[in-house]
Amino acid sequence: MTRYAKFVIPALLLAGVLVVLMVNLSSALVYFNTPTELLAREASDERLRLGGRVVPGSVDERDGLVAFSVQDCDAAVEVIHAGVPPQLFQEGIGVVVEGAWTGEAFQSDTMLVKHDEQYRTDAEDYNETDHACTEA
Amino acid sequence: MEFADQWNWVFLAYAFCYTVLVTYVVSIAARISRSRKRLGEES
Amino acid sequence: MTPREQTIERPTSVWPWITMGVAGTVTFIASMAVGPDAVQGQLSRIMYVHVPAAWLAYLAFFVTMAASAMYLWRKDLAWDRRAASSAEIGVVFTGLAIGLGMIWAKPTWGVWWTWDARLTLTAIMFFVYLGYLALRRTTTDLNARAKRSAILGVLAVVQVPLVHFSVVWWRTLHQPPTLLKPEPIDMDTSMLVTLGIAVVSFTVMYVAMMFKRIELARLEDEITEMQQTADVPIAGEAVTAPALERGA
Repeated sequence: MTRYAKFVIPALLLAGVLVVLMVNLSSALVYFNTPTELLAREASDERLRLGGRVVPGSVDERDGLVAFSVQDCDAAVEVIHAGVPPQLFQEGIGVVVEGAWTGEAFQSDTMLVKHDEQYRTDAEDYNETDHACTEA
Repeated sequence: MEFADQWNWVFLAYAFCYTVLVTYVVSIAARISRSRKRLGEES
Repeated sequence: MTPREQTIERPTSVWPWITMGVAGTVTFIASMAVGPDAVQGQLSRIMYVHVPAAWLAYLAFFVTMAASAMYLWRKDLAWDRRAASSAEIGVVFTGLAIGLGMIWAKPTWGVWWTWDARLTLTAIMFFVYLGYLALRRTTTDLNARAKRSAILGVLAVVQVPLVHFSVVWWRTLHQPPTLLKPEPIDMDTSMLVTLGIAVVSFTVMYVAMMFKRIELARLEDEITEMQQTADVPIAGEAVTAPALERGA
């Protein structure tokens, strides 16, 4: 019995650690909010992440600020980003921005580009319609 | 992004990749020859 | 365990070394020959080593699980050596996938690292298998070591599907898989062929590494066994006076 306990106890401990990790992770596992989720929230100073696709034609760069809209299937949110966007930033690409929701616009200071799983040598072949709504 | 800038990242990635692989393979070879030497001496 | 003389005198093959070199060269040439991605540009070339490295981590840990299960069933140390060899190679490829991922992430996402589900779970998997290798150093009793690590080798494999499907099950920064998914693959044929060549080459490299790593494991087990038999007096040799102090 003690011989088996030596192996069973670490195994149970490991399983326990994994379960605890999973439970704690599940809140952090949602890396960002969608525009729909953000619009349902109250304005606050709480630091949040917002993810979605940059609406084509919405990008306006001036005075070190970049204003653009981020959309999911149902909604779009105005983002005002303070800083230089990553080099891959462009219209139609996925982004995750970090900052606060003022109720009217999302004030962001950090931007990550979220590229998708498509790979095309020719830009013409990029499949826009399939992926415009799949971020949520 | 600058063309040359992108190539620098690609170069960094491949240099890292092959350095790790070669180092690991050399470590296997070194450990094999050390073990063989030890077995040869003590048997 | 095979008699010592047999293994030490067994000729060591150079073919696995040659195979590894060829596989590495083929991957390099194929990934430099293909055209760049329209959005990511040349950076997409990092995919042809990042994806195979991640794939090999999955494969290696599955092999560890299967060999560990075989050990628990058959109690043959040869299975233990296969499990341990595959785990060590798996750790190297997990580290490689993480490192290459970071080098890819900085110019594309804009950061080296972030705590999304995929990256966090991959880091945990890396440390759990490092723990597996550490566990193997806690005892010199070959059978006890084999049993302990076999149990961990079987349990730890649950992380592999967790890591792979994390990008599907949870909302992450990391993009969903391009390969190994039910939906059709969204990739140019030329790029898909290149990635296929890279994945096959890396798999061949893994098999060649396994040959050599198992040879090493066999030699190491023989050294351990030899040291243990050296401590135990051979029957009939014990003609020294009994040590009375020891009993007191």
